[in-house]
Amino acid sequence: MDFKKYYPLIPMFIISVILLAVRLAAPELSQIVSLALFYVALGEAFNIFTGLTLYVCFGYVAFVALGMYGSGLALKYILATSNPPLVTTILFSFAVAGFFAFILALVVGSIGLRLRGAFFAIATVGLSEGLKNFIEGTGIWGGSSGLIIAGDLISSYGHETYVFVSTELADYLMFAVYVLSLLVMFLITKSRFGYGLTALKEDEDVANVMGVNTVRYKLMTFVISAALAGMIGATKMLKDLVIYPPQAFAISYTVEAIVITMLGGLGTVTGPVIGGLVYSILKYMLTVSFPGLQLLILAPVLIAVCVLFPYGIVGWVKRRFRGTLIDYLLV
Amino acid sequence: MTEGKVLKLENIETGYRGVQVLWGVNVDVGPKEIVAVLGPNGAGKTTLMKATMGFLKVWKGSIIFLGRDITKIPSHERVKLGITLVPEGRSIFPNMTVEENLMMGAYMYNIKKDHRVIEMLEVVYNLFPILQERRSQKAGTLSGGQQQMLAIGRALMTNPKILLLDEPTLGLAPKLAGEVLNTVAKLRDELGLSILLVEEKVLLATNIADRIYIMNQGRIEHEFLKEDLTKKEEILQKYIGF
Repeated sequence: MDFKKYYPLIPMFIISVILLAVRLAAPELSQIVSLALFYVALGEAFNIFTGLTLYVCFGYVAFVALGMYGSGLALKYILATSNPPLVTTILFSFAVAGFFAFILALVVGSIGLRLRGAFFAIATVGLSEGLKNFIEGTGIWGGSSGLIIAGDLISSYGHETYVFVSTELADYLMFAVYVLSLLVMFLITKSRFGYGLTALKEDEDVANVMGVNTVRYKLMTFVISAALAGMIGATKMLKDLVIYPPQAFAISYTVEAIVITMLGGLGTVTGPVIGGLVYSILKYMLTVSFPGLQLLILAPVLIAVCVLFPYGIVGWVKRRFRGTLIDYLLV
Repeated sequence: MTEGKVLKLENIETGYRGVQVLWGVNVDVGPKEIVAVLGPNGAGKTTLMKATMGFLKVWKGSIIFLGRDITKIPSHERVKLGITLVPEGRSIFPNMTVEENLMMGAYMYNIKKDHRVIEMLEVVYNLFPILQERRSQKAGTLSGGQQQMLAIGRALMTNPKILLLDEPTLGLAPKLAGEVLNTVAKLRDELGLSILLVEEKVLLATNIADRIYIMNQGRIEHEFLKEDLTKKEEILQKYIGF
């Protein structure tokens, strides 16, 4: 067995351990660490689809939002009908969240991914807005007054567990989803599936004449990416304990995911980790010093990245140190 | 005459978003035969290739490959049956090495375990020694002619029975264009492949082709059999449209 190809996992492992250690050792930093974990996970999940295929889904936030709804509804349902241990409840809500996002991606992808490139991006613009208006308009799942699960958690598990879930457990679950996305991305890039995607990304027709089923490959990355986004939503639900359509479907999440992957390095495994860290720290510092203006950093950062580092931070470092150990370990 | 033909396109009609491009095209390719479809820009040559490969849905007509109707089979399955295309403009992977490009062509096979991959790689290297010489060089640094050879080599890695070539001489200097077409002739003579070639360089194509179709405005206007291929003037006249 060839272990060498797994060496790039070492730096990722180190970064992840540092993140976890900071969260454990410095509770006063927990706010910024949970923000960072959310963005790193979101960036990586987004990267699995966009980084590997160069297709952009402008309605990506819909998967996160549907994950939030899925987990919220699952929690409400399971706590109303029985009183299972916390682990069962959480696992169930994650499964439902991932499944909701998976189904949406399957439906949207199997129609939309027959379109090429920019046409797919255009076709998905309406996805998140449409879903939001649907929920608000029909009044399902709490409609515009939102879905609140705090009460259900308190009445089933007591106040102490409720506080633990939203302040501690949610962060560790986000860490778990982040590690999962990172591993999935890494394993895909090292697999035969990943080589097929490399061809697809360069030229779909050529990939096709090599025997790659391009529609299915695109769809597979799309549903994997969406299911992970759904689980990120589930974690966010446990953290916030409430969901309102306008916040859940905020287009800024999609834009932030694009910025993070571009900043770190589109299609690289470690890119979204670096991008997510840099972005969340920047955003946090700006929120503290210029409250209300933090989203303004999006535009200049995105423009600067596109002009100065079209391959992102990781891409730039890899080019700078081509052929060295750094190039080899940073994937 | 379906028997003995490798590929038979019957009354193909297709186009893009309601604009019809091909109007009942009949083309066939026999075993170890180079068939050239010649025609000016906009004649529908590339459209014909796309339809044959399955990138475009055929509105009417059928595509028969080795006696089997493949009109409804998706492109990646057609490749497995033994049809492959070298697209216009080469489209190699510039950031991969020459050998990585070739290995990508063998994507359908289990690269580590399937002995056919090594055999095919040897065939390609024998055919194009320059590719073996530059095997670990980035493909983007090759010259235009070498890139075209690489694109053909990569297509050969799928172990095809028929190769579709969409303007392999596009953008090449006349001398290189001649060289590329000579290697195309080698594919027929040494590997026994059938080839459907689309070209605008009429005289070069007639040198290697066994049969020629002249295509114009989405229709096949003339067919020149092997014995007529010496009448170059007549071919040129038909091509230009007199």
